[in-house]
Amino acid sequence: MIVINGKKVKNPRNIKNLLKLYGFPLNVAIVVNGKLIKKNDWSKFVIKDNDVIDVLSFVGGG
Amino acid sequence: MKIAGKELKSRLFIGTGKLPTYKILTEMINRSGVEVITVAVRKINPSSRYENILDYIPKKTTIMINTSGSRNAKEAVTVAMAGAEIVNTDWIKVEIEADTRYLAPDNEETVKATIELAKKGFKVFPYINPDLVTAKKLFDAGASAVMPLGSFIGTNKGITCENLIKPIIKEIKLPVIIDAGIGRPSHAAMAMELGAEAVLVNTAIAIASDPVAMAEAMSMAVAAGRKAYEIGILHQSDYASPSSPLTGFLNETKEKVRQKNVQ
Repeated sequence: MIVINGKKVKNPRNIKNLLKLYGFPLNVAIVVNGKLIKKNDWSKFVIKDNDVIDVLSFVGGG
Repeated sequence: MKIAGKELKSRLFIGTGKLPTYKILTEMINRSGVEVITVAVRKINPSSRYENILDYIPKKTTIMINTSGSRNAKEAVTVAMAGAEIVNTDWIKVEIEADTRYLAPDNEETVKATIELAKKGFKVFPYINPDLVTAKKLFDAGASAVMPLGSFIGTNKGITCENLIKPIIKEIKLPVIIDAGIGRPSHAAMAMELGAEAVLVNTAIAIASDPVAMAEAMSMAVAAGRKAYEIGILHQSDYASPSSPLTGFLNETKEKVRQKNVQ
């Protein structure tokens, strides 16, 4: 199990899977355990059990 | 006007929080002539209903990523870098607040984040409590501008710290952008009359009954205030200064005129 945006879910193992499985748009930023994973590194990044993942994008803000 | 190497005509920057819909952004930007807008970075819901604000921002518009929601320099740097992964911009507004009631900026952490982000090559626009010494540190840190608050975010109180902002404008060789608290066009004009390079307005536009029209009104006020600043703002006086000659009144007798001439 891992945590995505505060919710416990099954480990999708990699970022491509994560976005597809949980219905996120592609134009997002991924932060794992407080550390940004750059898009160039997505394909080789392995999601481990208990990782805390934030899927971020833009909203209105001042 | 040139800020962070970019030639800009409009001195009004707009924040996009609290808008009734993202849709109106396109018309707002086109009608007000605004060239710089801010967006925030948040966790998004895993659903197809996610509306992408970027879809409503014209390509020519400069996007400034706001690190709001960050509680320290480390978070702000992560948020800035995350934002820059999503959209091609290097303009970052550093907003760090460890206080929820006043959303008061943490100047100390803001300086730290600015040092870090400037080192990474970002154009950094730190949002600060108006403090001259902090502004000096931000200059040394490589900030592209300083953004002192006029009053707290969303309070619509205007420029309440004039005497703290003036020294920053005078002493710091960076553009000063007055950010937060601007609730009316008159506040925006006042900011420009003080010599600010630009203003950043969000709430007053976003929650207006007609945000597009309010953005236009703010834009006009900013232009008017700036023009007056460039011409030169006149000094105030405690006594009246007549705008017509003090002679030739109906009640004036020959004697009075003679006395006046003697004087």
